Amino acid sequence: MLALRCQSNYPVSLDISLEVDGLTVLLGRSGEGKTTFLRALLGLVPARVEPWGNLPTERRPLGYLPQGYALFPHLRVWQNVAFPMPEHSPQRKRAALELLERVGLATHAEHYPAALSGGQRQRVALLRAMARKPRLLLLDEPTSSLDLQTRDEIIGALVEEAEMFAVPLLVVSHDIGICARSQRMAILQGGKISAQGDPSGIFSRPPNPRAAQLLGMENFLSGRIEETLSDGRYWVRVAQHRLRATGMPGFLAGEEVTLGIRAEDVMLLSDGEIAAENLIATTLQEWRRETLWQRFITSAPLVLHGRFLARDREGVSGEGVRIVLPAERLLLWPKE
Amino acid sequence: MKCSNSLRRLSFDASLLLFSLVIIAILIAPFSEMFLGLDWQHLQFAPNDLQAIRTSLVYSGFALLLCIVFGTPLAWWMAHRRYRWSPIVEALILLPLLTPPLALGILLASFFGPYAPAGALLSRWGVELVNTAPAFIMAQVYAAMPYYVLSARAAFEGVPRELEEMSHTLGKSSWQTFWIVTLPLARSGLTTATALGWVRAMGEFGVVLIVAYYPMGIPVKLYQNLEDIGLSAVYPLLWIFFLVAIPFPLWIGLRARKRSLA
Repeated sequence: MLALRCQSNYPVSLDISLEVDGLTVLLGRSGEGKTTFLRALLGLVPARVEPWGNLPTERRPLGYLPQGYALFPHLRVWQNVAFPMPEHSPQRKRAALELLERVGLATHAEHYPAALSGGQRQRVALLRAMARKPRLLLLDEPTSSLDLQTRDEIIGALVEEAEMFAVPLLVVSHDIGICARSQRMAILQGGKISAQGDPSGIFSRPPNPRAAQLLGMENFLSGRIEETLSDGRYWVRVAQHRLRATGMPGFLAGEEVTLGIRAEDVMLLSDGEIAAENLIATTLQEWRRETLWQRFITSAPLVLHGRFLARDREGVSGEGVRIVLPAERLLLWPKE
Repeated sequence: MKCSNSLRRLSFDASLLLFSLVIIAILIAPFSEMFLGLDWQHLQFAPNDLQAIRTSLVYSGFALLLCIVFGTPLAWWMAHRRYRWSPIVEALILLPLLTPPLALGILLASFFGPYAPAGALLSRWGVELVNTAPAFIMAQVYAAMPYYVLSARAAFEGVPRELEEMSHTLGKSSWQTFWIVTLPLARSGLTTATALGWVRAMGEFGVVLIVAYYPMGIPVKLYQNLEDIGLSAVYPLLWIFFLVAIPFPLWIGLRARKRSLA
């Protein structure tokens, strides 16, 4: 586990303590300072950084893959890969060709980067960064310009190649898809890390509503604690409903809270199904069929977005329905 | 629909071509005198014309070298370091460009002349900066340097900063980055800067006239020939001037083009 620390005031105010292990993803919205954080680690913007903060950029043992890959357009593919190697070493070309062979790009060695596809460029940039034998590889939005299928391929390839070179990876992104393959994740909010750890833990218990939204949660409600149960379980009053919800321990009765639930956790009951708690009778405001999903929105006062994988169920606007909000999926946080 | 679009496009291209040809024709029309105004039967050089050609070529070469050696770091610095007072530096660089050449010559002669402190100091070290080879070169440097620096700065600004930073993150120092990333990527712009510096140095008349009437280069010799002999002594030397001044920028221009196409 590699501990990173970064404090900077300009261009974005940052105060970050982050632990990196294997593939670690730092999630944050655009403008939160993700790129600035990487550039600070590299010594390209002024900041107090640990480790290697006292070294000039060229001596920090870091590999870097910026968004556009920044391949040198005037150098051939093999020269790009060989760039970090000593200039007059006779082994240079052979070493570069060997690396290219490992990722199946040896036939492109004599081409210029302009002749490569996006994915090939990324692999060349990755090899170039690895040729430096870094202790940590930094990747800036590696999937931002890719379609879904290419994205999954690229992430898979990155993970494999990082394992091949045995180097930890720090990926900054706003793409939650990458987290599926990561060992660790963290959320950057307001210049600080609001949560870090195992991705499944953070997905199931986001630290606050904004983080939950970043992780794809769509439904947020206001409520008031009515009764405190054990282990962070509560009875909460939401509009005219009394719902059971889950949160951190320590809330007191009467406290205002924000509740949240993911659209795919809003269950639509079919006729005859019964539920013990958090059952709400409402009408459908909208019903939409998408390629993979059925989506619905319920009417006021509890406007909830729901979705489930397409099955036989069909609905129409105005139809009376019963929905259930599973108590362990209905999360609560202090009111923001 | 498609057909009318391509027709429109074609007529646009054709009118643009015609327009460009007219402008070029107007620009080069006066040069027709070099063919029409010359008595080709009795073509001959005035005395010392060849000497002037040699002077211009050799000293312009030196002046260009000085512009490159001193102007390149200055241009790089201007492109990379931005301070609050950077615009003032840029305005200062423009000053010699803005000054009428004759006035710049007078300023140089006053500053580096034997009776000025700077001139006196230099002459104590054996460097006379009036009517000597160093004076000639200095005049050309003052004339050509701002052009070289401004175009070289634009060339350096055209190199993506990201690539230079990438080079640092890959372990290369600023000096190595300059040689293996910045310089190759700025090549075509620097070529233009060099060509511009060369034609400015070769063609400079006003500054040189005041500071170094002797040794006589082609521009001053043209003036002297006109005064002493007349037009018939101007055109042959002008022909030679073009023949020796143009190949160099043409050659480096073509070379840069070939490289960027490669």
